[in-house]
Amino acid sequence: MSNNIVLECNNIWKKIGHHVIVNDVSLLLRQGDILGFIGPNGAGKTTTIKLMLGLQFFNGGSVKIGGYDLRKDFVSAISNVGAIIENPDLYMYMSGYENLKICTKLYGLSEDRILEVAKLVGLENRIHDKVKKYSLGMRQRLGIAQAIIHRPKVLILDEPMNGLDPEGIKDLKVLLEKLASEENMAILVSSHILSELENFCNRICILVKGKIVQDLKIDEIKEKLANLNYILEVNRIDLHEILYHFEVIDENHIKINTTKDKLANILKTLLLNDVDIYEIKKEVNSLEDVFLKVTKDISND
Amino acid sequence: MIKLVVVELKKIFKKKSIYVIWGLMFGFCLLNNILYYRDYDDNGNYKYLELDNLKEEKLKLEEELLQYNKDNQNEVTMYITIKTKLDILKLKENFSNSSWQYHKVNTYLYDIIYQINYYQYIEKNIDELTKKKEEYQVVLNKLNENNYKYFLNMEIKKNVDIQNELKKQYLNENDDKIKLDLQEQIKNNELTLKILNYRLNNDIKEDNSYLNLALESYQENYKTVKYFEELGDIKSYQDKFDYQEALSEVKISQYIVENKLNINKQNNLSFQLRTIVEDYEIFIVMLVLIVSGVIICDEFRDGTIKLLLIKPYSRGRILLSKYFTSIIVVLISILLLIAMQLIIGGIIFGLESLNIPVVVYDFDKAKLVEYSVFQYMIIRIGARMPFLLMLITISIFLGVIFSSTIISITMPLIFYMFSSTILNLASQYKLEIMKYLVNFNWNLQDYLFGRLPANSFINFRFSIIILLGYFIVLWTVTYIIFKKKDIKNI
Repeated sequence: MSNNIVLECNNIWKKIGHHVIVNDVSLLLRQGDILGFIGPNGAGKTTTIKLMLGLQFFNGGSVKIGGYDLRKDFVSAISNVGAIIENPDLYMYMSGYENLKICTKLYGLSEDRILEVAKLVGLENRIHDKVKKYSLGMRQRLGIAQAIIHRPKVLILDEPMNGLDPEGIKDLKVLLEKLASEENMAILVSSHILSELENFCNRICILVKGKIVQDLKIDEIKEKLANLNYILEVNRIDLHEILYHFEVIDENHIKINTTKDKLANILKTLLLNDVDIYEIKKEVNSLEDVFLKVTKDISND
Repeated sequence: MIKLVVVELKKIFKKKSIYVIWGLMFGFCLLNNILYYRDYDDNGNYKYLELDNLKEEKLKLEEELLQYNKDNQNEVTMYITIKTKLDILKLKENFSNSSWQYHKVNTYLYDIIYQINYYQYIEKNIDELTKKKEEYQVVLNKLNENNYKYFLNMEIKKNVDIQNELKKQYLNENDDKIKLDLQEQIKNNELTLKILNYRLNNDIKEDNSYLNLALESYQENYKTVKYFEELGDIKSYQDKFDYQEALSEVKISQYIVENKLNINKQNNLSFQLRTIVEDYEIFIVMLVLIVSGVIICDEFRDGTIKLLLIKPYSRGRILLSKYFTSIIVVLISILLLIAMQLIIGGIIFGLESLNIPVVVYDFDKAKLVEYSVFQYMIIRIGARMPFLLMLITISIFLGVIFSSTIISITMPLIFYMFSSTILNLASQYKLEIMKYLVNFNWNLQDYLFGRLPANSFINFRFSIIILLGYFIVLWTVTYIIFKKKDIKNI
């Protein structure tokens, strides 16, 4: 393996009928990477993941996992991956322990590993309960335990934050960071909410309509996201002499696009000019905004 | 591969449905054994059937009798006819319905009772009446004394007379056609005499005993066999089939009578074991369908198939492991069924019957062959296996194509249940094209011991080719579809 590349996706595409679902997608994952795979609903994230795992078949391109070609040597390639696709695939009528036992059996591992991973995901106390009785967060964690039980080089998680409470999300992030740094796993996490991923991924891939629009390092992303919209409720809107860039929403609201640091100065200026400010709201930068921004940047180039 | 099968088995045995079916199977087995023990006789007939009928018949006749007036000239004949029947029924009630007297009362006493009634109500002849009544008493005494030999000697004498008469006629007859007819009659009579003498020497009464039934069956079927054998070349398929049936019956009845061994006794453990898989087949069929539903359709529905498909095994192996798992579950269920029957039947009937051999007439070897119960059972199960394998194949095939539990359970079930209807229709309307249907060929039990199948369109080789053809086509399609299947997004 050169340069620690563990997953290599080269120009894969998939067509269903006349519709191209995944269009020329290329991805690279190195050891220790946490890649955020972002896209709106229906962008083809899950399909791309399924193509990479051999659950669906691509029309063209190639996928290499751990140095093995997925098509030519499926068994060797797939044994380097652990994954949760859509939902954790669990047998509801079995206990957590039995679910994990199935995995150890299929990978030919010893049963000691079950308690080890159960501890790692924090399920050791409830491991003998039926999965039916688990909460969503516990199921998600059991799913991760299933996926990492054989110490894969690549861990692929499809929308793992769905339905988790903020604390669950935090725990999950800690766990994933630990896996990346300690076990040196390469992790791919998909989501349709950018804010979930921004502060722990070191790379972000944006998928729109089956195409990768942008593949960015986290620093670049931060830069892109630095400019934020603030909505101010003010007593007057004839501020052209005071401010350069702003947008009038209605009689009492204006929108300012700026960075955090500059906002303080703007507010100071406004106050000095006797403008009354009643409320300041940060407009959450939606994914669509980022996409628009990104695509706009591309067309401007 | 073994790991995959172990995992699949684990999944199945964690499901409740399989235990429900096993429970039902146990309950049904228990019930069946108890009923056989309590309510059925050695020959598999309901014990109380005739007794109930007798009471009903008596009531009916009594009612009818009231409609006729014995003093009315026109009605008195009808009156005595019904009265005679009623008298016979009343007499019958004195004997157990399995005794020879019960069966023969009518034969020996009908005429006498009729005459008694005649002299009493129509001719009113006191002398004749007393004479007949004396005669009646003699016969009744013999019946009550259980003196079967008295009647047997009487019948032998009667038949010897007939025989002599026939022979005399034969010698005096010139017409060839009539001569041939007489020859036939003489032969039949000879057989009757032979059997009667056999009864006398071996003390076989005309009751419900297995020896009598075997003897009667022998007499009946021997005529058929002789008829066909004298015909020489048997042309029609139905005749060939009937000849086989009769021949097998003759040989087996002969065996029973000669060895004085009731090999076809029904209310014992041996008989329950012989056809065990056929008797409880619906449970095995349900199990087959549930298993493939659980390990194919449920996995697609719940998405757990993905878990399996991203494990380091090729799709072909995964599919094959599911097939083997189904077979293993079916085999386990059959073993369980046999164990249940052995335990329940052992407690209810005892184990002695296991020593009785199963005797079949093997047409290939042209002789009787003795098997132990277990050998025979295994042969039958073996011959039924292609059917079960086919059913598993069909339900996996449907499961992989439709990924719908409902379709892959109900469609084969409907096909299975209407299978015999389809067969009947096909043979009724001589639809030879139907012979290419798999259910026409999947029961290899029809061919066991060199027998002819019920249908003339097919033979053993044809069935094997059809079965293999179906297996190959279904498996190829299933394999290709499963191998190429995109796991759809939820």
